[in-house]
Amino acid sequence: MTQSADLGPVLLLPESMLRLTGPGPRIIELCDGARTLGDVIAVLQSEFGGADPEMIRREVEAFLISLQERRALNFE
Amino acid sequence: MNFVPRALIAEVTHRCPLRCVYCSNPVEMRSRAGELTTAEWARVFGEAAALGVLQLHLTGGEPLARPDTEQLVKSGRAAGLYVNMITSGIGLAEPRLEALVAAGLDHVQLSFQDAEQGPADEIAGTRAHASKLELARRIRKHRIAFTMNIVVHRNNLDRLPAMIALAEELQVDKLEVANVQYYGWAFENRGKLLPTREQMRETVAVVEAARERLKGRMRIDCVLPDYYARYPKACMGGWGQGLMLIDPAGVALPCHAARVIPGLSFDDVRSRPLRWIWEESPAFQRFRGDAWMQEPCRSCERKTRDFGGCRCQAFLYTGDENATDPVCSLAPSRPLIDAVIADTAAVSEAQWVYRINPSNAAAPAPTSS
Repeated sequence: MTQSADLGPVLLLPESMLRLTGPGPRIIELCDGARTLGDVIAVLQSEFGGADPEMIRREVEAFLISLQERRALNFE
Repeated sequence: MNFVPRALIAEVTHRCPLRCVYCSNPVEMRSRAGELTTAEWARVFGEAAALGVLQLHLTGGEPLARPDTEQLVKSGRAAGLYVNMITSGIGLAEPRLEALVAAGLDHVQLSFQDAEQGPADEIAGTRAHASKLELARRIRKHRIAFTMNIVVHRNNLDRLPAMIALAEELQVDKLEVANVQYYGWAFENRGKLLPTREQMRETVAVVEAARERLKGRMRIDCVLPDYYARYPKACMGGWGQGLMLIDPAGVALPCHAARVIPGLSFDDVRSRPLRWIWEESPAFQRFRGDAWMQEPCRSCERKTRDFGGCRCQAFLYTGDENATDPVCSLAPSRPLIDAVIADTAAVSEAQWVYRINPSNAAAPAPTSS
């Protein structure tokens, strides 16, 4: 993940890139190879306390699965 | 209009242990003596990042033919770039692989010529396949993004299922099924390389099925030859619009093949700032916008999507770099492409034209950076 002067936060992948919006950069930051999926969701649920925790869980899972399909991350 | 380059292709040397018959290097290659030094590349990576470049592709020739590849990786990372290395992997022993990973290499693209040793080595003009397999297994043990690239053509496409199986066995993140692009050495050999129409149909079906089966485990990119397309590709995403290539001697080009176009002079990073080359140099401005276009491109609604296709291909076939890309079904020159396709039905008796290496004149004195 890097910060582009004109594009904002982007996730760089082999020969492609993904512009990150909303909580995207924070989610990527939390995927540090040590936290579990549950840990990542719990952190976001506490940071976005005003939102429905169940909705946060669904959206984070969908986002990370889409990244897995792009081979940007692995669930280990 | 304001264009920002996002990717820099750094051809750090033209030297290579392989002699592939479809090599994308120019037929006239740069010698070792003229190659940019370690410190010069580091400066160029910094200038590229300042222009907006995010990704660096270290390629060649074989980037590992230079002794300072690890340092180039470090310099790219220090400039804030995502660093990809495109390699044949020949001679890459474990200590050097570890050093490259430690230097911050983000992604390795290892090229294969086939799934089988015999035909792979015929294309490469040397024995390379077995060592690539051994290296692929070692790369997978590192935490690094790993792509396997197989260049496909008429002689190996029937083995596509075996290639996919090999990629699965090697557990790569991404498989690139890259049809040969007909420039440089491949243009010389196109009569023997272009797939048949039947092979095209089969490729699409095999790739679609494999994508579905491997979803979430391996991504498959597939590049089909534009000779079979109805409309041209948006070559390089548009001339001088998002990508630049720098050759071993520091000459900046809008694409691999741009040198075939007569009358263009390309500036080099030793004499000019990269920003000037990108923003002001005549060569990079030459095909921006649509003022240069002829009919049928000029009044075509697709011109903002494909930019009239590839300028180099237009020149190679028509002798006119402003012409519509001949692969376009609307191009007056389309029959030239159809004739090449018609010839794929016959068995070619032509001999391979193998890539030759640049002269191995003395290298510049090593510089520290």
